[in-house]
Amino acid sequence: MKQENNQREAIGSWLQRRHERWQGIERYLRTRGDIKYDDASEVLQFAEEFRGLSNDLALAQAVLPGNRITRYLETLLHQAHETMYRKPERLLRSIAVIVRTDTPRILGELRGALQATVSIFLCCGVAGWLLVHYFPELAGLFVSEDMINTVQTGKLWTDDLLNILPSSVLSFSIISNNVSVTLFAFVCGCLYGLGTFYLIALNGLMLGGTFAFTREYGMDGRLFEFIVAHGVVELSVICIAGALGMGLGEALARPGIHPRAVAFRLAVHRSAKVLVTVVPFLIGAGIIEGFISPDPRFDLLQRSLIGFGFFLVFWLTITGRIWKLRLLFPPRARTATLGAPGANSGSPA
Amino acid sequence: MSERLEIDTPDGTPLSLEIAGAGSRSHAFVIDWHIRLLFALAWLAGFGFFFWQPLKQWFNSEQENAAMWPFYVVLLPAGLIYLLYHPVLEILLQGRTPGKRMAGVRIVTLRGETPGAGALLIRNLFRLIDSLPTAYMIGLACALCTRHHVRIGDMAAGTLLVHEEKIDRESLQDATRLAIDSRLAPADQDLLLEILERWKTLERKSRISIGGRFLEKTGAALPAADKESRMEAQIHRQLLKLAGK
Repeated sequence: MKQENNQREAIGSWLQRRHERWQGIERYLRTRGDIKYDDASEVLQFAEEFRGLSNDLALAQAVLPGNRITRYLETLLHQAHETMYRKPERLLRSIAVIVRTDTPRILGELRGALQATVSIFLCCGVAGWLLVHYFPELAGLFVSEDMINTVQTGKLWTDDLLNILPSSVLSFSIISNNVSVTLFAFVCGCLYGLGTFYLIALNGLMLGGTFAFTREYGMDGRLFEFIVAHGVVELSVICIAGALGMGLGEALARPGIHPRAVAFRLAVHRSAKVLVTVVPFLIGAGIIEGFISPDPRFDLLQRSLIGFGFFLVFWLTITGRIWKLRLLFPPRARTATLGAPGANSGSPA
Repeated sequence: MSERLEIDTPDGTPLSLEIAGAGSRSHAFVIDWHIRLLFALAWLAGFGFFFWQPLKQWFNSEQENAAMWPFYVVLLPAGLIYLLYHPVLEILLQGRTPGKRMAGVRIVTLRGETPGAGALLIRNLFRLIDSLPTAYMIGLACALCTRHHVRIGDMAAGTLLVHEEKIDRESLQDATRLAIDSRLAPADQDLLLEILERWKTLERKSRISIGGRFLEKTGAALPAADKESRMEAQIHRQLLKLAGK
């Protein structure tokens, strides 16, 4: 009985002593967002409080199991733990590393998936073309009835685009559509890559079928003229997203040394970095498609030059070569080394 | 028994968080869905009311030189509010949204930390799949079937939803006072406070049953009364006495 009373007194004195400290830590953590830079003494004091809190929790878990004081301390220690071990936030620097270093490396690793995706897209494009060429009545599978009617009157559905919608709205709707197709091609990879496969195959079939249909009416050249400026980059981005989706499928089908869930998570984190680099190019493609592609003032040569130039920038970026162009990014002047020039060269005088 | 996420800390103190189930997830989502819909509709209605004529002209116009500002001022922001609600708020509020706050849950990584912007964006990207075929059926099915009750977006991002425990100052003071003065076991002290906190939300029969069982467990004498109302009042009084109130 006496021992029990002593223990209760000890707990009481400990609680009374520490209660204010815990409230102090709680207040500090609540206002933590307003403080941008801490001075060293503040950090050291917090580290000490953190150690004290950790000891308090260990004690509470032993003498007050299942009590709300213990749960309160657990919550408080968890918050303090996050503040203590938080990684530094360098968003712009992380994006720069992703664009300059990670994207070329990851695309190199995914070369096989990329080749497979492009092959599927091209094969399905050819299949769609052959299908509509030999069975023209199947054109309705790939082009809408309105488009068929417009082409039958001797016009391409892209001819009057600017009369229907202003360039800016057109660009905006194209960008949102392309971004959603690209993201969808990527996330469908979680269905063991099959979703991505069907999406890429369908896009290839549609493109080939549409070209074969317009060829019947002698308008395939005009369709090519319309898409050449924006289409190369647009289709490249969709193919890359498809390859990333295939990568997700592969991680699920052949997880290797990791459990399937871990392999999937690692593949998503790896692939999402490439999306950060390539998706912004869809904004450029959308602007070209809204402002240049439907404008009759641009002839084939100009469109081809724009398309080629845009693709060149895209290719240089995803391969990382753009950062090595001395014309665009001259090397920084080296800082002077200690000692006299040539002192460390070891060359004979 | 609720499932918990065990966290290994560098200093060796064991920490665990209660994992939120499909019910809490749905609760948070329904609140968030209504909030974002209401905000988007409020924007549409508010600006649409003031700029109705230009908006009508914009809808009917087929010329390139038509004024574009009604689209950018009225329609675009409403769409952005609806689409970007989750990713933007989750990043700004560190894994929380107003709906999640109200449901008492938040997003954490598998290590129990606040997820970074990248993980939160990935989580939201996979809504494209989770929301299929309609009303987040794939996401809900996954949350019901998986160990941590996560949807595909969470699996991809390495995140999960946990309950956020909030113990207010008054409740902590009550617990401290009990720990100092009471002879009850620590877990019973907590149970007592829990019963008293929920007393008003319980029906009379439940109050008598739960309160009576607690008094029986602690060895206190059960009050004898002929009427239920009197019995309930006496049990309540005894519980308050045990809590030192």
